[in-house]
Amino acid sequence: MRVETVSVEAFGALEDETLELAPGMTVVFGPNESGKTTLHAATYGALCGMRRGRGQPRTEDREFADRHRPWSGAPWRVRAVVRLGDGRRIELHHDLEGRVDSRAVDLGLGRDVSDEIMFEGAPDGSRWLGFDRRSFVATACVRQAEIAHVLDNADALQDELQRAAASAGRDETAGQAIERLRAFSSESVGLDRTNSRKPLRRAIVRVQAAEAALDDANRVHADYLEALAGLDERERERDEAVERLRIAEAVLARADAEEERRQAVRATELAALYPEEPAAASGAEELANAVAKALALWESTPPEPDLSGRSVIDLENELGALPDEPDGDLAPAQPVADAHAALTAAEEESERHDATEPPPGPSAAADELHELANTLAAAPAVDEGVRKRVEELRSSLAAPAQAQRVPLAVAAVLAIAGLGAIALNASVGIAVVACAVLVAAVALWMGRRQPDAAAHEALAAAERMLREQEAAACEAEGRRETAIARLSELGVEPDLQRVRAAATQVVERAEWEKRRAELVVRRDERALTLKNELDARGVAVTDDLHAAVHAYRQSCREREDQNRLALRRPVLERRLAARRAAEADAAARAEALEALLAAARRAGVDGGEPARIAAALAEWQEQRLSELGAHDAARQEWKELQMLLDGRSPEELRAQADAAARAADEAAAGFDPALIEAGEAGIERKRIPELRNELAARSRAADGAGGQLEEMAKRVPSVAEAEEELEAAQVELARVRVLEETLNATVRFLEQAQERVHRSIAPVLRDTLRGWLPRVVVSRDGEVVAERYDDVTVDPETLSVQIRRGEGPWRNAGSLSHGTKEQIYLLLRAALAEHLTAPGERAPLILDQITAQCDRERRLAVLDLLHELSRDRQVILFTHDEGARAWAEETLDLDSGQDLLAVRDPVPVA
Amino acid sequence: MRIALIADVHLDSQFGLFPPELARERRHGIEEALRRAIGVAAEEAVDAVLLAGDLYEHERVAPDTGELLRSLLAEVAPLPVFVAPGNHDWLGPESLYARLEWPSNVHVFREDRLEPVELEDGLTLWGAAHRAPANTDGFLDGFRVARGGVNVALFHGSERSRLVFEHEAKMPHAPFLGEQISEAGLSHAFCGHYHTPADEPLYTYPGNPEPLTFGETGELPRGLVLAIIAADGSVERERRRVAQTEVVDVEIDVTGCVSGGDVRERVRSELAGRRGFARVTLHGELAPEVDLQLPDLERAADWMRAVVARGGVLSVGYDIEAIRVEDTVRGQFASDVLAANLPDDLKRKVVVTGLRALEGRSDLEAV
Repeated sequence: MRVETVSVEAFGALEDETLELAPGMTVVFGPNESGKTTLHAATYGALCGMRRGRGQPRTEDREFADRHRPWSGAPWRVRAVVRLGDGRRIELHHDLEGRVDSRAVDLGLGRDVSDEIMFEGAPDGSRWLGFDRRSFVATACVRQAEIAHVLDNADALQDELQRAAASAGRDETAGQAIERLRAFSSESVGLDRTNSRKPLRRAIVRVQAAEAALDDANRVHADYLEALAGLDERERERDEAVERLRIAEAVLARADAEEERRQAVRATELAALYPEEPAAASGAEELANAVAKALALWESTPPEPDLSGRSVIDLENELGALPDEPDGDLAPAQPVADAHAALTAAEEESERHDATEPPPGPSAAADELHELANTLAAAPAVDEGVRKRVEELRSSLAAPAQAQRVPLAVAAVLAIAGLGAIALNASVGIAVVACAVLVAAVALWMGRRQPDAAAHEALAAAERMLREQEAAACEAEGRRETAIARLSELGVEPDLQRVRAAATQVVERAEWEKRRAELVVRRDERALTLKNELDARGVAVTDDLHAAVHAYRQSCREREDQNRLALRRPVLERRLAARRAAEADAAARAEALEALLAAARRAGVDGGEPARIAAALAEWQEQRLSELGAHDAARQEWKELQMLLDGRSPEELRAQADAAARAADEAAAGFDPALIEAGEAGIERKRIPELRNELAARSRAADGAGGQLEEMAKRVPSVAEAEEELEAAQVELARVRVLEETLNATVRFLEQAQERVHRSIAPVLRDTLRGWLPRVVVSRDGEVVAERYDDVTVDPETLSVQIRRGEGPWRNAGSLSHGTKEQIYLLLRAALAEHLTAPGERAPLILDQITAQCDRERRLAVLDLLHELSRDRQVILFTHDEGARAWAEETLDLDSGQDLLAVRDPVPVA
Repeated sequence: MRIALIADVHLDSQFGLFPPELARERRHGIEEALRRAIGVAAEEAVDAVLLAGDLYEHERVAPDTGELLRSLLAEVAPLPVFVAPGNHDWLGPESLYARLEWPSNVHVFREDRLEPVELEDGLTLWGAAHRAPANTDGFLDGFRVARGGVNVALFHGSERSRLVFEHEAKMPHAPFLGEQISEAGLSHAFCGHYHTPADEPLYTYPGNPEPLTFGETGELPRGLVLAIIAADGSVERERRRVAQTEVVDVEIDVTGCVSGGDVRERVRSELAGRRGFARVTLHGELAPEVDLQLPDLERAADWMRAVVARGGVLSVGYDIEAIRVEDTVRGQFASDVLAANLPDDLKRKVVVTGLRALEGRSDLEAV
């Protein structure tokens, strides 16, 4: 944006005045009272206008109006023509008084564009720059007072820059805002600490107290309700106790009345029966006792016994003659009978075996006899064929032509002989046949060999065989002769059949004898068994066991007879006892009869049969008892009468009973008659004190509960009020919690935003400053020194600046000379304005009296810097500084129109 | 037969929105409303008074409430009074109904099933009691009248189709459907529980006689219903307002207000001509510079018994869209907050608080 003209219709002391402005740097010079500051304000007013809204104006608006409202009373109006970054020329027209006729008009199109920049009710040209009238005046529109303030307090400029970064300079710095929030939070929320007295803690404590109070109220209320129920229960119990007592009393009154009525009736009856006291009973007690004793004795006697049959003495004699029970078997014992039968059977079998005894054989063993028979049967002999062969071979050796035929012939003979010998002796026969085969083979072989050798070999073989056969035959014959000699010794004929028959006889005899020995053993065992059985029963045993058995059987029969007699003893003993009892009964009966008769005589009862006497005595006794009973009853009733009357008359008793009946009716009044009737059966008189005690206890309990409840009712807190207090406390706590949350979130977001902005703005400011830094004139002690700084950093949080030259040490800008510091912070302001200005635009710097307090060097340095800055943006400087004027005349490019020096005369005072 | 129907009196109720003295005044107002309702019934010479439950709140019942009720109902003897205990005054061993010696003209239904009482020849009233504070089954479930003539019912229950008109927290105690009334052989049901009045063909809810909270709506007057039960069972109803306390809900648009004084003046203006208790809900757009203090507003209309102020849909007239694009901490802050995942109300409060802090203001508690 570039301001071309500012026109004042009326503004402070100025009227109808237009200020032309150059696109570069314009220096408006004038002495004091020439209206420079007014023009500076008018320029701001022409650009930004004033807020238009309901309610009281802000302080700054009010002060602005007070200072710049037209002195003449003319309409407070200003105008400005500006050229925007997009090329449009706009005329801004502000009616600062009414703020109604304010507008922005696109001069190219003749269109009202006020809507684009409306802010707080009025068009605001700084909106095109991204500012508003508050932030613009704080950033790009620098007033004399602010400069003076900055000069007085170096930190103020830094603070101002921070405000610019925070809110484009409108208000506080972000840090101040955060501090303000924290302070507010500390006072309006506080911490939840035990010793804190701040709202949060107070609200929490209040809620806790309200909760406790509500709990207490609920508890007390519940106790109260429970006590109420308890009181009802106590009262109900008391009422029930009252009713139980009254019913019991009514029941007993009814019973008493009935008793009195009954006594009155009874007394009346007895009084009629016994006008006087009955006489005492008569004596005869001893007779009555004797009669009673005699009757009792008679009635206790047994019936008359039967005394027929044998006497006691007879029976005792018969018992004395009876034998004792025998000792021993009454009948033959079965083991004895079985042992005897077994012995008999063994003896009979043994006899039958002896009857089959075979004749005795030779005194040799059967095996020996069989061996002898075999020896006899064997008949070894020399094979004649062999012998003949030998002869033939011998002869063939003499006649070789025949050598072959002869052996063959010999072989044939041997074969025949051998076959024949097999029938007698197989081995011999086979041997002969084998020889025959051998001879034949030799003959055949010899036939193919030379006749002499073969014949000799055959002959040798045959001769050898012959010798062997002859030796065997000789040996067999020797054995045969030995066998025959043995047989002869045994007396057996050396016949093969007989020898074998003798062997069989020997075997049979041996078997018979073996069996016989077995039978003898068995017979002896059974005899021993029988003997043992008999011994066990005390039977004397001789060699003849059968005789012993017979004697045993005989003794058994004798003991059986004795035993039969002994068994009669118990029967006779019972008969003897019965007889003795009968005789005793008879004696007792006689004694009782005697007593009965004596009593009858004393009582004057006539005799007869004992039974009749007893009946008569019983009748006498009954009559006497009846007389005694009647007399006793009269005496008792007399006593009863005296007790009932107790000194009163029967009439008085009846009147008393009537009164009791009326009292009972009154006591029962109001109760269900059925209850009274039901109670009559079960109520005991002793229950009355118990019921009265119970009633007293119930009454005390009910009274106590009532009193307690009355006291409690005074102390029952209002549950509703406790709930209301809790709700109010909770609402307050919720409010504080929400406030706490809001403030915490606000601080958090502000810190976060501050951090982000600082992070983004720092490099922008640094780069901007770095570009301008070589233009900064460094002075020290009023003298310009040849130093130039070329590097700079900006702390994003504090916006403090540090500079250095080359690789030298960093220096805090705040520690530099005033002039150098001023230039640096002026650059920083320009950089901030640059940063905050909307893209595509450049904010003009409108400065009022910023060099007023500068010495020459500082002035030159600042003005030179501003001039440099005006190459990129419009700079408008209002000043009364002659040095500035001289600088402008010397430095500005006035001829080309890029810069402008406007010199003003003092405004005449009206 | 002419009857008076009262329900949902809620003696001893709590009023958390008010300070203690005003809450006590509100409870006293309930007593007075009941007294007037009973008085009107007696003046109108009705044949019976029907109390359809929630006469008092058992868990808060004050020591003198029993005597209050006993004497109040005894005053109209021999006018018969029939009581059907509800879920708040449920009949238990400790309840007033169990322990008070009620006047002879008072009949308390004591069973949790409908039981008959003959109001006059040919007209039977069936009543039932809640015997527990919750989980009471519908009295009409499986019920069928067992006698001829005209039969009507008195109980505390929830007609299901009306639940949608009630507050969300309203529990369906002893629920029933309107059609169950005729299916049971009843001509009409006189009910309590819903505080919003209802005059339906088959049932009647009289509504609470005295306002119990703000925001009570409904086109019909609340309180006392005088009904004539005709011989054919039809019911003709007339409503009488018995509350003398006025409780109003007022919505106030504060748009354009540029100061706390403006808002206060607007509240005074809106409440002019009203009386009693008011709840003021503010909405609209406030100028950024307004320091809104709700306690100040509650003292704004001194002719009212009480004013409760609260913030509704309120906004503050910052040009947030312009601010958020600023290349400043302020713009970054506004942008961050608006983009944050926060509840809308908190977001609004944070923005306003932050902007106020940046402006150097001390009114940092945003409404």
